[in-house]
Amino acid sequence: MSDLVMFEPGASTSTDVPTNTDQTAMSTTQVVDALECDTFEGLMNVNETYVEILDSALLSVQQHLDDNLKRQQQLKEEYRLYNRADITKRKVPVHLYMPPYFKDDNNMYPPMSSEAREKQVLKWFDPMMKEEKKWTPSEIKTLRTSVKNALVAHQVQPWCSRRDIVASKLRDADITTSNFDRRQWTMELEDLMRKIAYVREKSEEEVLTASADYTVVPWTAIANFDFKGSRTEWAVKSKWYNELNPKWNKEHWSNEEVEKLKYLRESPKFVSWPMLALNLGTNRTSYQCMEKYKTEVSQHSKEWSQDEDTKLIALTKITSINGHIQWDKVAQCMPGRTRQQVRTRFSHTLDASVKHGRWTDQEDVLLVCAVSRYGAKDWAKVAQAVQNRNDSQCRERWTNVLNRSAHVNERFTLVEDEQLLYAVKVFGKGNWAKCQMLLPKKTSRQLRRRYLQLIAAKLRLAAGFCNAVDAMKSGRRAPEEDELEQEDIVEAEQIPNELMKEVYEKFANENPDMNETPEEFYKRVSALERPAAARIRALKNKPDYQKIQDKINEIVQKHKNAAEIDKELHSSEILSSLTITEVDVRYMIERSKTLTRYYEARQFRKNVDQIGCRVRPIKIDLDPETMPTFDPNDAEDEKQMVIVESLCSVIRAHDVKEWGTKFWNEHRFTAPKYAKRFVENMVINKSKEVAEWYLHVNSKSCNQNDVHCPAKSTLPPTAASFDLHKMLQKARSGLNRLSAEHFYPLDVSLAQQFNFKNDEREGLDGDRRMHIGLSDEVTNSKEYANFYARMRSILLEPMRLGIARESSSDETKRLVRCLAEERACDEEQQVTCDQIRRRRMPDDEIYVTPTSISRELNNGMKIDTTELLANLDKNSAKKIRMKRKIGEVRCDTKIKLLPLVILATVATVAARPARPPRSSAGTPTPSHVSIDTESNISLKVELD
Amino acid sequence: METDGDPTNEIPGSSMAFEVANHTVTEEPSPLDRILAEGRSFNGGNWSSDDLRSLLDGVMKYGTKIEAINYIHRNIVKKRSIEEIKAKIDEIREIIKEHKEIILPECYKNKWIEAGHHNITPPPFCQVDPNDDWSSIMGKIVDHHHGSINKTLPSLRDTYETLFENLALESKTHENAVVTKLLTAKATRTDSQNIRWPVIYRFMKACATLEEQMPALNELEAAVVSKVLDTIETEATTTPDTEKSILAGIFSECQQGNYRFCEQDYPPNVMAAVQLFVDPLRTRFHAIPEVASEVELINFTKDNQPSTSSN
Repeated sequence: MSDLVMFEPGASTSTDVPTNTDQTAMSTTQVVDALECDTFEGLMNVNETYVEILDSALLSVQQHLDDNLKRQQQLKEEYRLYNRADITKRKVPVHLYMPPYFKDDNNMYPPMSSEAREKQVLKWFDPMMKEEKKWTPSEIKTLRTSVKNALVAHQVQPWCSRRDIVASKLRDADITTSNFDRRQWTMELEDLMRKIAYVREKSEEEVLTASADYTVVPWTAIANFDFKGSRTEWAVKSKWYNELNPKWNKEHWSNEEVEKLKYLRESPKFVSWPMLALNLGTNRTSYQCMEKYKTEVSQHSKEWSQDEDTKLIALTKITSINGHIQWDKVAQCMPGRTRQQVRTRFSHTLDASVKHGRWTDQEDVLLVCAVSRYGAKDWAKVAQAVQNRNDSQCRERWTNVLNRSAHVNERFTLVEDEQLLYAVKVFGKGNWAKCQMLLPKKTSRQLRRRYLQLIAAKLRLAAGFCNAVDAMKSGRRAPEEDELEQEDIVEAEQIPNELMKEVYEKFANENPDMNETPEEFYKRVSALERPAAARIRALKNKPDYQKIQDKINEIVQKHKNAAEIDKELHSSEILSSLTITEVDVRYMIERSKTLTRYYEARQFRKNVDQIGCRVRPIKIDLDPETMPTFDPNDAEDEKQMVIVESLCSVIRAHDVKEWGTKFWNEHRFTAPKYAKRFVENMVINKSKEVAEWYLHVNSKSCNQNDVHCPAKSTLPPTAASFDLHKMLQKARSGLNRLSAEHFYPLDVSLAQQFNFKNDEREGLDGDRRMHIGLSDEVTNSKEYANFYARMRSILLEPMRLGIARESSSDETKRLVRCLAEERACDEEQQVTCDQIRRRRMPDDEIYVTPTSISRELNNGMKIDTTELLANLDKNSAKKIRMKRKIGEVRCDTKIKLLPLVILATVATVAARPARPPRSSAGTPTPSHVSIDTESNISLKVELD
Repeated sequence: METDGDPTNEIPGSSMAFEVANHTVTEEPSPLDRILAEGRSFNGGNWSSDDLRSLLDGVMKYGTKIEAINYIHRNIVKKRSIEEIKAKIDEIREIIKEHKEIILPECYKNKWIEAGHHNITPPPFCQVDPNDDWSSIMGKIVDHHHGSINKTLPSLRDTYETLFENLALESKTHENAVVTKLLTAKATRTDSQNIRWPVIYRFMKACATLEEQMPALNELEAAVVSKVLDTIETEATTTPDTEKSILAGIFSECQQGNYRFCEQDYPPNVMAAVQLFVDPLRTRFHAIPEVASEVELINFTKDNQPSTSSN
């Protein structure tokens, strides 16, 4: 009976519970009925039944929960897709339209055309390809988060799979599954869940380690989903691997690392930066190595060179757009220089619009106007208003000159010195703005300068050069005066100085609408600076400030009652309270060296380059042939030979140029003297030897050994001597015409002498030579010998130059003249043998000198020097033209005297009226004689 | 002077005896030829070609001053010390001395002598000024040198002017000098005339300073000047053909703008600077004439300065 009751309730419960609630109520009733059993086995069976019922209920609930989660995920996904669709509609990323053009959402694109393939092969620049945008911090954070999530997902992927398997097993468990298996699966599931949660809760630092494997990161997914197509896969991947990867060393470079970098870079084994980074062994990227080397290691001098300045000026002109200079681009083109350095160098030094020097009144007015408008903080705007000054100049002018209080003076008293040292002790060195709070009559700049003077004074005292009082007098000092009261200190800060008042009055005159007084203007402008003093006010509110103030008052009171005899004592105490560190000593030494160098440079008139040991390039026009040209495949010896030959030419050119500078500095006064003395010595002294030789040869005691002229007795040819030679050649025609008075030309034979008339005499040119035979009285005179020797010394070698370049026709003419000279000598010998006496002109014969020759006799011959001047060098031509101008001025004065000469001539002619009648008595006078002829005869007589 | 003898034998050589130059480019001797021939090393310190190239670039840009050498050592040639760089530059200077003073002119001298002085002309493709003469060439040579030397040293024209002025003051007139001894001379009214030596020297001064208006000379004075010029010209015609060829060659090279044959001595010194103005063509260096006075620096005080004597 009891067995039948136990079996029937279990079977009906397992099959009818999900469908019929009435059956459940019936089973409950039956369970109640089952409790009436008294046996233990019955109770166990009832309990097992209850457990099975509960398990099935739990399974159904879990299933419902899983279904609900899946539904939620689907909804989230749909929502995200919906949002993404909206974003796509509103803003299409440019990436979709970049080559190879027209990518879809799945980053698919059509096959490339032939043009695209060609561009890809040749690596041409595509103008549609935009430059990579600069990574923002938010993007970097997004990238790190995405990579972290990707790594975490990859790490927990096996566990998730296992979890899903275990969960499915639990869901599929039925009556055949044992409790042990159920329990084991449950524990495994819990363990997997715990592991997954632990990994997902890790921080970025724990996940993003150097040893992590980043190849599993889906870069395409990150680029498309996390960055929404704004970054390419390559860009994201490159950014991570090259910069953000934790394995790269981002710490500060150590000295050993820098030295090794320098060694590896400068060794001949350097190939590329990646290899260098690998050999460095400190986990640095190649870009890090290159940047470090370019910015710090290879920068031997931080001074700006001339080339850099020139390049900077050119770059600012190129990159300026509507007056705005793009400093980022300029800095990129200047390796080793930062943007700040570039901008500062240009604005402070190279900007042509910036004026340096003393401020004018107009500029002061502009500065006051700008400060009244913009305040004393935004100096860039103020500098724009003051057009010719930069921001630093404006600030310094305002702070140090215009904005100073009237009570600020340049001299320090002992009280102020002690207060200064106390302030430095309280606030520390360098906090001069805070120190100024305790010394309201001084500016921060003055405090700093005075502090340096006190250091120098103590050093001077320690060295024993002077006593304490004299050491303290190194700066400009003020006499003892009463200090202002506490109330007056506040007012003193509000009073402008005299220069400010003057400038403000000018400003007010230009703006009649201004109703402020200088004091009111000063207060208003000072109030604009009030926020900057917030820190000082906060400092004053501290409880320790009262102690400082008491100490200051104590110092003031101590010096009020001091007598004059105690000055040295107080000075010693002040200097003893000053502590000097090694840094101060080093700074003073360096500063003294700098000042000494500038003082010596100013004394010896050196330029700035010599002070700073700066070397500028030297411009020399070198022949292009001096440049070495060789094939890279040539042997090493051949390369060395070619380069050495080029070095010979270059060094010679530079040495000659440097010699020119040295010559100008040292020898420019002595060298002309040497040249002049050499010429004078040759013309005056050496010529005497030649003159003596000439006289000796012409004498009767001449020997055959004395035929040759003394050696080394001629000057080298110069432009001056050659021009002298050419002038004499041009004067030959005139000399021939004049000497034709006594001698015949060489080509006129003895038989033709009677036919040589005045017409032929006037037609003589420079190519013909005269047969001149001077008397022994002339040729044996000392004057003639000296003249010959001197002319030979000057003219012999220039004549050689002319003969060296004569043409064949000229040579033929010269030979013809030689033949004519020999014929003339033969005729002379024949005449000597025949003992024919020289004919004399009859006294009664009238001789008329040609007019042109008379003009030459009276005034001298004229020579055209146009061709000669054209061939002169510049300096000589200028000198000659200047002399001619002076000569023309003198000629003008001579012209005024000419009428007097004419009158004298006329008087002379009038004084000889009786001459013709006496002549007619003996011989009749030809009727064709004119008055000009008579005047010429008279002049000729005067010359004789 | 009277010359006797057969005139045909004394005529200088004609151009028919020489070959016409074909204007080929002459390969100049290298500065290192002599060193290589003697078996000496031209690369002391065994500098590599890269180091030499760096040194060349540095010297070309910054020069050879001591500051420049320091800069080159710090920035350009970093593997060598300053002493090594200085020694290298001094070695190259020694090479320059040997090459410039000894080797280069001989090569061209032989070429010119073989060509003949009538056949030495600039190449046809060179554009030269046909009006060039020795004066313009010497002016270009002077201008080719450093500007400080050109500005400092005056032209000898001023020196000649001063000399002739002083000589004019010191000389005296020779009164009533007999005109001539020739029986075939022209018949004149008088047989004597004054020789005013001061006027003659002033005439020379006017020629030296290129004045257009000359002082007035009388007939006998003009004859004296002509006689002296003829005598000097006769002596000048005895120049050997070799010297003519060398002078013509120097002229041709200077016409083309090549002034290497007239450059100063190396290393530069005061003597070289003075020589530039006293002997701009460097005729003494080329031994033209063979026995000629060398330029020397004369140091004498006023007490030792000799004075010119007169009649």
